[in-house]
Amino acid sequence: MTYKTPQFDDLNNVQPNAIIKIESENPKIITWIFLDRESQEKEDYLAWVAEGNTPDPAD
Amino acid sequence: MASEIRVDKINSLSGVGTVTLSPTGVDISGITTAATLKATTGIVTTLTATTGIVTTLTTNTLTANSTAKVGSGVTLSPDGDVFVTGVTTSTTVKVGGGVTISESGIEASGIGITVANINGGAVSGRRNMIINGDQRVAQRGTTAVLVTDAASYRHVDRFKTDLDGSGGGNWFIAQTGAGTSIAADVPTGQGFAFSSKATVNATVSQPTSTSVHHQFYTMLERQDITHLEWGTSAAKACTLSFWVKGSITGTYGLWIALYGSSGGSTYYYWTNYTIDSANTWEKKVITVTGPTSGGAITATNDLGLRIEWLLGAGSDCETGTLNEWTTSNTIRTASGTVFLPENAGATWYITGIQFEVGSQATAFEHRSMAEELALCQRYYFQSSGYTKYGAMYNNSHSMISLDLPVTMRTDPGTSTATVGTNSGTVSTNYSTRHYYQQYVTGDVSTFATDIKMSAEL
Repeated sequence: MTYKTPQFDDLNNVQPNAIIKIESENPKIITWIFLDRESQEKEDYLAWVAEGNTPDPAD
Repeated sequence: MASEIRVDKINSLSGVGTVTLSPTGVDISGITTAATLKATTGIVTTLTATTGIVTTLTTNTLTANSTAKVGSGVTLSPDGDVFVTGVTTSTTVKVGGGVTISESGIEASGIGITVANINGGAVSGRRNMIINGDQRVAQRGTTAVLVTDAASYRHVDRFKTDLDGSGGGNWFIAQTGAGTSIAADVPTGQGFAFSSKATVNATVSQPTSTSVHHQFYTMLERQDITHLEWGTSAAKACTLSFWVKGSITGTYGLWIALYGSSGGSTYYYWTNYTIDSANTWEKKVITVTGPTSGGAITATNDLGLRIEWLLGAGSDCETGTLNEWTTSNTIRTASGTVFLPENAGATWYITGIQFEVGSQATAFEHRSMAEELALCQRYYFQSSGYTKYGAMYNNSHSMISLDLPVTMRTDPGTSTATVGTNSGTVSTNYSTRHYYQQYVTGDVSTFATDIKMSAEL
């Protein structure tokens, strides 16, 4: 599993406040984690970052 | 100086009235008028007041061999029937030991009440506040999942599992029933087809820490429990009932938490139930009088009520008063409460969970699959086996969009899909509580399968 920063949103001209989680066993399984909404996945991501990790840059 | 006349009969002038004095008493024939008439022992065979009134009749037992009547409105018949045509006023009426009618209502603890309707409407329906109480909906899948220390919805919808603390040990959680890998294990004769099953996988001795607890729980929105009036002086009693079966007998912990009172505090109700016979389905009933302080619940879509079945807690939790509302969030369990994970291969099943207003547990409210699934989809949606093709957004980009079958509780915190694209890049996701929407740049031939949206509490 890896985390990746999303692309710049060229439709709304903003950087999405979100992170993308990509499953290792199937990179096509993509989870969009909204960082301005509550979820267990968001908590897991923030804990991962707190451990000193950083997400991959946007494509 | 006392004097006496000894005769055996006195006749009136007309000869109608006769007083006969026998050695054992007095017999009076004809009409007799007396200011006070007493019969302290023996039997009065006929007592008639045709024109006058018997103002006071004092007796230990009044026996009417035939029918006793009060005017034309009340008749007491010897076969036990009572006929009353006027208004009957009573403080309390009891029928056997099962039915009590009092000014506060009718309480029937026996078989129940058979009626055609209530207030001219349907007798039942929408009593159970628990969603998926019969454990039938499992959108995420039906295979057994190992419960770890990450709180998660792992098997059936609306029921979450978690291991809190660092006590060790773990267990599987699974759905039993048709379409799963485990044959249905449900109480007989209750109409259930599914249950949840916990099976201890890695054992661990009961720790002492109060932070350790093995959890199986469900949660309700605040706006769905405001009618309980909890937090106010009008708080209603509610009853939790469920069917449970365990390989380990004994006392198990259970607690209820109320969130969202206007006063800001969270209130906890620590209680328990007992599994009396191993590997036998038993129905448990817990009636809770709602908290009367803290302020009314604010009607929002946030967490309002949590009901948790403890499969184990640290031994230091085995203290404190049970069955009362408190703001203390330190778990309280009874002395000797079962710690399931210390028993290799131990199992615990549950189904038929119902939480309803009132002090009686009524029969489980079986709802249709369509209704139950829709209730679940407010919190989680999964389009298993369904492919949604994207539409061309412009000459190089596309948008995959799917309207959700049910408006979700809130805009989902996560949106997952298997996204197919030839050369494009999965860009911004615009999903809300109403729809799934994925923008893909650099490709107009895209699709998404296994879309998953979560707006869980």
